[in-house]
Amino acid sequence: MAMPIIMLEEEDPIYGDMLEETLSRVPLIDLIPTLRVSKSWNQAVHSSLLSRNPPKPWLIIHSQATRHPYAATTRAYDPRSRVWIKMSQPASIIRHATALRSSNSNFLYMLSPSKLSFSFDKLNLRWHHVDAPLLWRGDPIVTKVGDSIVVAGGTCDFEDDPLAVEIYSIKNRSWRTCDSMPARLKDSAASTWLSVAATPEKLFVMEKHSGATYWFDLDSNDWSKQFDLRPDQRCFYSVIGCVKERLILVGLIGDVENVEKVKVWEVGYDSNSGSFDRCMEIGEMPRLFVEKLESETFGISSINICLAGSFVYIYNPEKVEEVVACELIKGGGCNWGSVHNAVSGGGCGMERVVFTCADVKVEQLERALRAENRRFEVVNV
Amino acid sequence: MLYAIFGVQTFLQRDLELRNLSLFNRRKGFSYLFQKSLLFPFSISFFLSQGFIYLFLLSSRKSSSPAAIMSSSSPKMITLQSSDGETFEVEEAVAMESRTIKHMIEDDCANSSIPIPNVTSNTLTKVIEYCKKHVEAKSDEEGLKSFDAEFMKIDKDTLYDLLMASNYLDIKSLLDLGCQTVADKIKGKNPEEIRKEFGIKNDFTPEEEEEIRKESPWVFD
Repeated sequence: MAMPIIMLEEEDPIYGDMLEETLSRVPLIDLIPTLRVSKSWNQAVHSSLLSRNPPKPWLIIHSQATRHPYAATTRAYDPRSRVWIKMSQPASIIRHATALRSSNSNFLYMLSPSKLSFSFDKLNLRWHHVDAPLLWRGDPIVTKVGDSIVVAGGTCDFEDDPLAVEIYSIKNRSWRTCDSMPARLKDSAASTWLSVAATPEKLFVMEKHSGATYWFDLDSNDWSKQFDLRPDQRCFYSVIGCVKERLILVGLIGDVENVEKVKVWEVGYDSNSGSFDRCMEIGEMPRLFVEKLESETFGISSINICLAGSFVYIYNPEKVEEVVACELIKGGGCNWGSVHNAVSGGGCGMERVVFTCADVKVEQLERALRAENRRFEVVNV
Repeated sequence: MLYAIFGVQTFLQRDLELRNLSLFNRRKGFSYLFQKSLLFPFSISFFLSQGFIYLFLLSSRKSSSPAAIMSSSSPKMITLQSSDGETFEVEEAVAMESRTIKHMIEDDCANSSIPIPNVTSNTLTKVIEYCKKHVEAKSDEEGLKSFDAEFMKIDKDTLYDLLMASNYLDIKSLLDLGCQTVADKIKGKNPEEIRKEFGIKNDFTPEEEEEIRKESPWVFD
């Protein structure tokens, strides 16, 4: 802003640099109407989003009541403008009869003995309903890998094989069974103990407490051998996630009673050799934010992450009021920030809170909002 | 002062020359030459002494100027001239809120009045008012916040002029404030309301609008 602007012969009172600078301060939701104001404004919006204040991934919080009719509300946090957005949909879209769960950053699902409902679009606006897999189990891993939904493991008392894997092809609308999970995971095959990440071809599964990691290839239906991903010997708990083909690992260092550090690594995966070749530390969470994650009673016994774009949101499921955001910088390193979740939680067990994360563009928002009765509005928190 | 010295010098010389002339007229010869020869070194020494006195004063002024300012406790004033010719005297600290002016002062181009060609006197008055308050009440955050809120209660044209001025003068806080105020006017409005607010003509044809709608990617992808 050091150079004086060149005065153009324009009729609009506000234009050029000034218009772009102003638009960079307008929340993404409110930029949607500005796209249609005039041609110069349309250009200014795109230019402003490209260079002055690009969109940043939203943190989306789905709160589901734990009592009938299990109504769910969705709020999103837009870090670009630091505002909260209430996302309302007509109630008939989805009837929540079972517990809402999420995996792999923007995959939402509900599994009951008869039905599997899932949603994988960025804002989880469209739901699909299919028959449940053949084998019923409690709390399996459910996630989308490429064009398929993988349901694996789970806890079950009576079935022979708690490590069964079933895959649903979205295109063919059919289920198939394949090789069971590695035997080592027999006692920890539920989503409580396992963290998943997925690229279009592979599913990565990590045991949170031990760091034992396996990958599953959908084309060859093979499970890999065990890898021990423990970049730091003092790491007692870790989770993985995948964003833009990068595998990110977040680990707690210390012990359950006293978490000393929270670190973020990038795990290099070599698809030729099928193994992990390196763990590069990206950054360490500042002490101030580690303390935000600590709940009064349990400290930090577990964490979960969701990732999109260049953001990794880290939260403690026991304390949903605080979420720490890690913004990955191109070329290495990261910036840390925190989000105070004022719209849900409360900790009295009346609500189930599920996090997802999405890299939303303004044109996608515009299209999503064309549906009647769908409203996104900025809330004053 | 130099001129004064020279003026006196010239007068004296003239006077002496006139006297010479009258002397010459009256008494030619040796006494005239004697007078002349005396006068010549006298005028030279007079001139030289004036020169030395001037140099001495110049150096003493330079070395003692900060002391002079401090002891006199009047801040250095900068003169700004708006596009319609009106001049404004402001304290240097207030003028330095503008990075553009700050650079000019540092580059020593600000000895006489600084012209601000893009900004009218009305706008410049408001800008100076803002800068003055922000220099005076620098540490009072609450006070500044309420001042800013009141300050932005202006009509649209003044707001846009202020925005352009703060961009040209490179006053970051005023730019932020102005841009945020305009951004708040955009929030929550539909395209027609925005056009009305800013006096913008819709130059999209219905076909072009339809094109844009068609090309928007689905959020489901």
